Amino acid sequence: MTEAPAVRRRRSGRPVPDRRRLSLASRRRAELWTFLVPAIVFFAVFFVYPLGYGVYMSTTNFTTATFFTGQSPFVGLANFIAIFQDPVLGKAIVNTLLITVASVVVELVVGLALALLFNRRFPGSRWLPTLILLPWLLPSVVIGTIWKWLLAGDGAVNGILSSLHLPQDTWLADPATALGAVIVVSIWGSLPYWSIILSAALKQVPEDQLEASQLDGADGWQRLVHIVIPTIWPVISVLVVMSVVYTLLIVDIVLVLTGGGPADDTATLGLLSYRSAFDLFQFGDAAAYGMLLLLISLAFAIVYTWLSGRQERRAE
Amino acid sequence: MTESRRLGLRIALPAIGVAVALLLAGCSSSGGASSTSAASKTNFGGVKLTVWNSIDYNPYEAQQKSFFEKCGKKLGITVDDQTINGDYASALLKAAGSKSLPGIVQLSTDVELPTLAAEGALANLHSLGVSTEGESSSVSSLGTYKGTLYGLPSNIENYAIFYDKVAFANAGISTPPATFADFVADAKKVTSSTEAGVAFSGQSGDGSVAAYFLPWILSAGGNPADPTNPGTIAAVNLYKKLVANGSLSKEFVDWGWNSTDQWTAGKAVITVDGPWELVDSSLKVKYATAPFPTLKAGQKPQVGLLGYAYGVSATLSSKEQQAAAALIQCRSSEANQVATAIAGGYIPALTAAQQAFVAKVPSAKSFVDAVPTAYNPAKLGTKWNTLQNVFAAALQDAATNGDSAEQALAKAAQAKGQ
Repeated sequence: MTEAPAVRRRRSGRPVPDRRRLSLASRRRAELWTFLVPAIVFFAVFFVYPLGYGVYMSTTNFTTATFFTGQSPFVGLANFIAIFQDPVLGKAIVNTLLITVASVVVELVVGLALALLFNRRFPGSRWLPTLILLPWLLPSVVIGTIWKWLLAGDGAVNGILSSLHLPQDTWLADPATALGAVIVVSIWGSLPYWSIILSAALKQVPEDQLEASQLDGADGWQRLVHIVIPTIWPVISVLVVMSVVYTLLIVDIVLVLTGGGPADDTATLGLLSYRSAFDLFQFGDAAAYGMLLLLISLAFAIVYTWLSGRQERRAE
Repeated sequence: MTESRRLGLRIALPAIGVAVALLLAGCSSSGGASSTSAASKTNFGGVKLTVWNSIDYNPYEAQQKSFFEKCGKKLGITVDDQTINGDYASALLKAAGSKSLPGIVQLSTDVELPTLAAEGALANLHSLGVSTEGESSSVSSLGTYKGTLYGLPSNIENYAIFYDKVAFANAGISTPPATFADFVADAKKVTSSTEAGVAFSGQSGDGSVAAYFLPWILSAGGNPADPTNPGTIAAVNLYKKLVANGSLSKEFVDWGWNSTDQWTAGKAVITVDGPWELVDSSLKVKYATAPFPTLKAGQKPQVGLLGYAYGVSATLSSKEQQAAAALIQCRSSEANQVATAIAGGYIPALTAAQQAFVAKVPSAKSFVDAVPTAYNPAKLGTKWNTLQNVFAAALQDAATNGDSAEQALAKAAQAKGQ
């Protein structure tokens, strides 16, 4: 019995690599796939599948019976037609956009103001940023419950207004004030996040540029507009994107504060989706509302990407 | 205790929606039960049965354990009585889906019983000789699904008017209001700067509107299945008038089951509440109960009715099913029902037990008197889920946006596709 040679040799006597051994390019490809496969699997399982299932549900008559029978008849666009015939839909879209725009604008302005404040030294400047972070640490349901109590007719807000001889209201029950109250609470919950992130971003602003501009006679506003904001703009734009997408999906705070009332005046798209699924057990309609929310988010993402690209091209 | 029960009601509907997602397979009925009167047999030596209860507070929990164990001993059955904490509906449906439902399960008659019965997870109690004798037809029908008895009702719930006797006396009101007009007038009389006349729930989504508003529709001669009928319009108008004259805060649109907290805290004189208040020894209000006023004098008031029933798993062997039937019949004895009512604030299912309960707790009379003619909303099926939202939306619209009751109901019905 003869042993197979481990390495074949060329006529010159130099060893020839075994065919079973991979070339450098193949090894690189293998390494690439080794790193890529877990990410692809993760993306497929946790993003593509749920999204695809949501699209599937939005085109079927998916009810509680489906879970027993396993059958959900295909209904095409019927769920979308049904939700577009809901008179509350228009109000919910307007409310969702209003809450989102108002929240993001106020969070940006006030968050930046707080961040600028925290960048200065004053009594309490060390512990105040930590203290202000507390609302962000609270779950939305807790925030909603606290504010529901504060804004009640006999709550603390009216108590303070009364002691100041200012007009009071049933803030969450009055159609004129309920949506505003929801926006205020939403901002209260998210503002700390903005102020902390912007506060960290402000530390990247070059001190020498600020000092030089000051020596050149630039006032505070000019330094803010021409040096500070352009420097932290990438952070601001990421915060805006994240906040818009997060606020578009708002459900929990609305559910706890008003349940969408009075008379659907604070209803949002997320709330309509929740109601369809868990009050009416019409999971197909709920998925259709979800798809509508996805389309709005996508529209925003496309506009944002286009604007960012245009800005980068200008900068070049 | 009260909170626990309210919580249960609040989460029941959403929970069942989530829970059914966990059911992977249908359930099938074994159908192997003997038609002999198992409930009358007295010895089932060697049979072991597990009981699931959903009501997870004491003294109810310990009391049920004691009842089942005593009955088990008497019948020769080894009983493992368990109380399932948390999401009972999910646990129930998961067990049914995997055909591992325990021998005996406590079921809410409005959601859990019809859901499991429709999937064939429960045994036919008629064929096992279980008797509903001694229950009024309104009560025994709670345990049926499509004419078949799947659950033996053991305790039930309905609603009545609770009012502060002292405030009524101070306002010179000697008898509770008999008509809607009287109610509006009396509520106005007892309203003061520190105390509202009325506290009702009006928030959508937690099921409280369905419970507390339904009696007003029925007592106005309305049909809950038709949101635009005159009785429903009259009921919405009642709320609208109460808000308009300042007896009911428009904040009621943000109140759910917790609306009664306004009354227990002394911030309102009148409310609608369940029988659990009857045995709440911590209440400081000197109260009395009354039947619902009717739209016109001489009409009969009517309330909605729901309850808890014990069902038997269809996957048990014939002998086990017979043992289970005998066990639930024993557990539902008059003495046990009265004891449960006094400890937990439920209305007993048996008519004789109801009378005994009234003898011990006289303010339960308004609840008990309403039982024979009570309405079972479960018969509206899944439509009831949508109708609850219609009523809440209409109440909110009429009370806060100034729409008439007709407009508000028509708008809400159209929006919800009714």
